Amino acid sequence: MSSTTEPGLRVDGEFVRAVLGLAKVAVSEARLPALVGELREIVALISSIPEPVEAAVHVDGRPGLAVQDLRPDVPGPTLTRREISSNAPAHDGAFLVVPKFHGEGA
Amino acid sequence: MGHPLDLPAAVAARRVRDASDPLTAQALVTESLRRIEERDGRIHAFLATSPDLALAQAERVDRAVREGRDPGPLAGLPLAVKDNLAVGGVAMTCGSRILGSYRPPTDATAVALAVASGACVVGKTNLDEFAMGSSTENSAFGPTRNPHDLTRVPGGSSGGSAAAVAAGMVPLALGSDTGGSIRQPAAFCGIVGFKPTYGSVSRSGLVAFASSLDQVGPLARTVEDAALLHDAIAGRDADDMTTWASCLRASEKPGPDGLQGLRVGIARELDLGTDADPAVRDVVDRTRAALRSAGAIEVPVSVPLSGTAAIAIYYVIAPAEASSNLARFDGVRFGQRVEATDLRAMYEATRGRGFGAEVQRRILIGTFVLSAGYADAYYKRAMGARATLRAQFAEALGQVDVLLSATTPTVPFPLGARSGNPVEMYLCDVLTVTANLAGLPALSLPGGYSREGLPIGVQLWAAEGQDARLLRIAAATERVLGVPFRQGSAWEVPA
Repeated sequence: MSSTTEPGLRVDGEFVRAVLGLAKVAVSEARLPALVGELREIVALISSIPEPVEAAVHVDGRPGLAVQDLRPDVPGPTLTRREISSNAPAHDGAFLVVPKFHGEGA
Repeated sequence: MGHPLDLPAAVAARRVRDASDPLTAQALVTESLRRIEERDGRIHAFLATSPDLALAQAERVDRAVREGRDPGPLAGLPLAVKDNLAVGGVAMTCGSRILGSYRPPTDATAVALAVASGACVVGKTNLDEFAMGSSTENSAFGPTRNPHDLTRVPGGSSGGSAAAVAAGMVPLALGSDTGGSIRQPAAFCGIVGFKPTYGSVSRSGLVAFASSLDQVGPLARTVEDAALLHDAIAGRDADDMTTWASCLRASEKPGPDGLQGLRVGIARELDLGTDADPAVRDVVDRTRAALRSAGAIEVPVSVPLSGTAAIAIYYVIAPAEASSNLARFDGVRFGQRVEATDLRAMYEATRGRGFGAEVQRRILIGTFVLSAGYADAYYKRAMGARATLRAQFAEALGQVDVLLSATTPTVPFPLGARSGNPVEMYLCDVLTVTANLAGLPALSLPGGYSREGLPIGVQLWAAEGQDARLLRIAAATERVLGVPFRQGSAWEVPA
């Protein structure tokens, strides 16, 4: 028996197969009924979140809270064009040179 | 007198750093490896040991001492590392089959910092697969057992790290905490586990589960030992842009550490009443009494969205982020690959065979809550509720110095007792997920034992960025509670 949590939501085999497809995970047909039951219970759990309260959520500036040290919002020195270019990946004509994957052939 | 490995970590490290003291890093590491060999056959805290690496690191420490250089505050201390934190060149599994024989090219930042401070990595510890679980039963390589009672779980997902410390195999361990995965196993194993403020410790090299919730932290026998390791690994990291610029180290922010006048918040939503095991309630009550006797002042507070509402929020956000993070495990670039007729079939077969049941469940839930038609009702609602929860915690922590609660609602449960019921397992985290959702520092320390000798932890948490203060208050609480570290020795009892 399916349970309905959100309007129109039926956590059944069809639902689980669709989500499996989205997630790119294959499970056996034998596993499917138990998985449906498990997910039905989990969806029931997560369907109990109350509507967010439109209260103020401003937490900065309150006493007792640590905040990150922020530098003044003033433009500072930056890198030269040459320094930036030195970090660019090497290229071989039209192609980037990709480093050999560590452990390949090990 | 026992072996120096049983000394307070700072004392042992100081002795190693002292060239006139005969204690060497190699002696500590050798003893740790011997104990692992002696004890871990029945506990299964470790997935792999790294004796060559550890002894080479120990030799570097000893050579530094001989040459008059300071090897660092963790000099010679054997360190266990949860197997979702990279150690360069050492196979990493994340407790899963899908990674195959993957070896990371470099150390995680937290590991590198610990080693740079003199620690020696003796091995990789067991965990629930990809850190998803509360018992270490979801590991693809078999469960870890609680060193205090081998028929019971050590907690999870950092169960291997907790068990390794509790059984006296190592003085220090690294774990990760996304919804309680350091604190809950620390409570179940009778040790200290600390989840720092989100961003206090770099996540570079930690295999991501839920990137807005994950945090690396220490497990140790005492608060002082945990603070020692935390101070070595905390700090800004250019490889993790979520790390803090400000210093949160206990050692660099001295301040009062007494309990006189300390305002201890008791949140009614975190007081589980009859939903908690009576032994757990007794320990919390004794802790509150001990703090009051020391001059602390209890302040009732309210955090309305904590408790079971927070579980619902967590089990939307964490799986959502996990479904995204685990998309990279697709059999293409690394790890196991199951060959198939086409690319999509290969993805599905690889992930279907490589992931365990709990990881699959969370990926499915995460995929669902982010899918078209449901993202607003689930993910967006959960994110809004999370923001409200953060504000509620800020409000409560503006009135007090720390919050106090049990770490878990139960004592360590028997192996297999909850593994067939996912929601029942999720409810283990009811007292711990809130710190991750709000990014707060939180610590579990031993509060006592049940009549059967099972460890019970109590949890303190503080406002964001107050890590140093929390560690000092926890150390003072540890002193007044008077619950000394008790090594788990069930492995000694003949089967």
